[in-house]
Amino acid sequence: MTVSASTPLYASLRERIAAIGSDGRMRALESGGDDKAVALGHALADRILGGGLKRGALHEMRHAEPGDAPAATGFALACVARFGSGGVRPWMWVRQDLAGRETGEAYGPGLAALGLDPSRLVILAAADARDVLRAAEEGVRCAALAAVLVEPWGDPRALDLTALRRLALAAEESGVPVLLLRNGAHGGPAGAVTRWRIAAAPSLPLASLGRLPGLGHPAFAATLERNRQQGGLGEGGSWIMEWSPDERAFAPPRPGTEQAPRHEQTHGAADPAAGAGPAAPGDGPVAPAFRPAAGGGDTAPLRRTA
Amino acid sequence: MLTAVDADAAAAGLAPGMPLATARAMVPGLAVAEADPAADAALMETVADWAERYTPFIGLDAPDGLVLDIGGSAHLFGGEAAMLDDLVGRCRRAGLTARGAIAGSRAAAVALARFGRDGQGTIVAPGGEAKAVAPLPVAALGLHPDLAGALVRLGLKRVMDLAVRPRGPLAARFGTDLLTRLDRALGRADEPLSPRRPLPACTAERRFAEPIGHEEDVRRSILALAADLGRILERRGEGARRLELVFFRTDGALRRLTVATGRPLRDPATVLRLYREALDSLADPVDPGFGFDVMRLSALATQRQDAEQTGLDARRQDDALLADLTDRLSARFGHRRVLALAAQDSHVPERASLAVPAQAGRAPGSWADWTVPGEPPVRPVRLVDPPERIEALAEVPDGPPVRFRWRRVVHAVRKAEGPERIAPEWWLAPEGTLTRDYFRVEDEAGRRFWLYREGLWSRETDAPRWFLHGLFA
Repeated sequence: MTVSASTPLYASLRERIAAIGSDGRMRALESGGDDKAVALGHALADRILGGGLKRGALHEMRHAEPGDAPAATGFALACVARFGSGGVRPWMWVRQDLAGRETGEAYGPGLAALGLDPSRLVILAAADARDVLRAAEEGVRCAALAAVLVEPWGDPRALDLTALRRLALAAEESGVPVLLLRNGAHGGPAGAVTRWRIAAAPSLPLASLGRLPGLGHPAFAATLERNRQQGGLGEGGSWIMEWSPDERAFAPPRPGTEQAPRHEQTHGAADPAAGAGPAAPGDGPVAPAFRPAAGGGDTAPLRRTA
Repeated sequence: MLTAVDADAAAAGLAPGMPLATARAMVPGLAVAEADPAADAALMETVADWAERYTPFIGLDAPDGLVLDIGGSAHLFGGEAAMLDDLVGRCRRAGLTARGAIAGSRAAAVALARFGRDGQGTIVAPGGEAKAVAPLPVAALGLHPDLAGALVRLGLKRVMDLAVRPRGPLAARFGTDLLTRLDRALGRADEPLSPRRPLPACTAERRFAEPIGHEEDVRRSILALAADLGRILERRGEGARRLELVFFRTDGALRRLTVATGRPLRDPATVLRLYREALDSLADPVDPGFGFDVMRLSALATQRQDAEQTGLDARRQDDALLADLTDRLSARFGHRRVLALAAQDSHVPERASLAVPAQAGRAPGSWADWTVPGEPPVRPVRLVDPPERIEALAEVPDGPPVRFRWRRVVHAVRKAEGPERIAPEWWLAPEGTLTRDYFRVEDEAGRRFWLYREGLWSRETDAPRWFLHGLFA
């Protein structure tokens, strides 16, 4: 008997086969949707990704310019917080010593302020890129972790396609997502399921007592450069994504206050928005309507007293 | 002056304490070597290390003696006599002059080994110490030479002469120390052994008739040792927090390998995994040479561990897996490279978050203070420590910077929040530490920085310096 590729039976078989890790064991299909994608909270990005970022996969974050390394860090940490589902599960940050020296060390109060739980964090301070990879692989194999943030520095030779494939495979087997933070990198292999290029974006100004407006929630100009996720639309996009530490989720900028990303939008993001039906207001590609921050209380109705 | 003589020299009439000129006159062509107490001590340490193959309970009897507590290990060598023969024989084959004795009290054994007639192979049956020690000279009690000389001049030459005297007058004349030493030598009292190294809580060991060297054999042996130790620990209701594995090579060399754990541990497979990590990461690998003939696994530190519970909830299961991971990473990369952040009760930024070895366990500090609902992050995710000098242009006296230069790049400030004034903790800070005014700023590109001005303008300094202390997401 022949089975048409479009029958439900075929689809469900494919699903089951996909759930079998390369070690031949079934991954936890029934483990409360652990394998499923985790929505970022930004509706358009989630739709293009096919529901959000997949667990058990390798995701890569790069900075647009070297000065955007903290922004790329923040975006990767925000994704960790998404995967952390409430912050109860432990997570791990493997960073090369050089990365700590160049862009600063993980700071507990700042992590907490961003919505992560520093008390569930294990930091591995690796001397070089080889140790980064070895430790990362060890970490990824530990199913208890919500996510592993892997931060080599620059373009080390050890970080080749084979190394990335090993990481991706380990992630697939355990279901633990890997976020590869490529600070200081210029090139490098493409072994990730998704690749993001992150730049800092001006935050929504808050009222302030001073002459200058105050800072709003962290905002990122995020460009999805590579999207190979199963179930995703396969295309990229470019959005301003604002992170809400309270909700532990991304939110689209509020209507009327969109800000343009500093970097050219690489993708015609208008097309997916048009093709995918009505998007939430402010969800789509943003108009270059950044209001220069004029001080004073009229900018936003948010309080500021101190 | 001669400090030591060998058998030939002794036969020629030489003795320690003799002036060198006299000795040379008696034996022309005498071979002399300068005394080197430090080298002698180092040799004794090596011998003591080697002797650990007999028992981990070893003390030094300075300057040239070893005391081994062989309770419980003699049977492994086919009895006390065989063990003593083996030990003394091996020492002699290595070119050392060795004498040994076994007795129920430490002082009796030392006295017999040093002063016994036949030197080797004296084994005193339990309770026989008094009789065995009685004919020895009083110096065998380990007395100060002056006191020993005084006793001999009084005609008290042998231990038995003292043993039969009334104790009161002896104590009155020579002090209670003499009686204590006498009691110990006679086996009426014992003194504890002061071990060279911390004593393990429990140990397991394997001896191999055929020395092993293959990786697979070593691995299997570690697993077997871990299983033995695990059973002992389980009986005690404990788990190991620090483990030491000692490899004894047939040529006498020895290698110790210590691993620590973040929680009590007794599962053999986990112990093996830790040791594989530790062995893999050694810069100087364990060389089996001609093979190991003894391996010993000891729990140096233990902690109460209740029987494994089944039906753990998810959080505890996660914690158990995480503890395993931390232990493995610590064994491989060193415990200083596997870190946890501990919240500290300090408002000085660089002291508020402390990276500590994850195995040490976390301090109970809370991070809750830093999550302010509705508020953008008030602290950066990455702390640049030490803070980096920047050039900044700012309003006086306490306005935010208008522009600043960091790492050769100029940033124009578009948004700013501050100042947040942080005074030095005067009870900790050195004299002259200045107040800091912190600002959160955002530049024209949207990059967010944490800057501070050091020193209150006109009150503390006329030329405040600016620093960058952190980077926001």
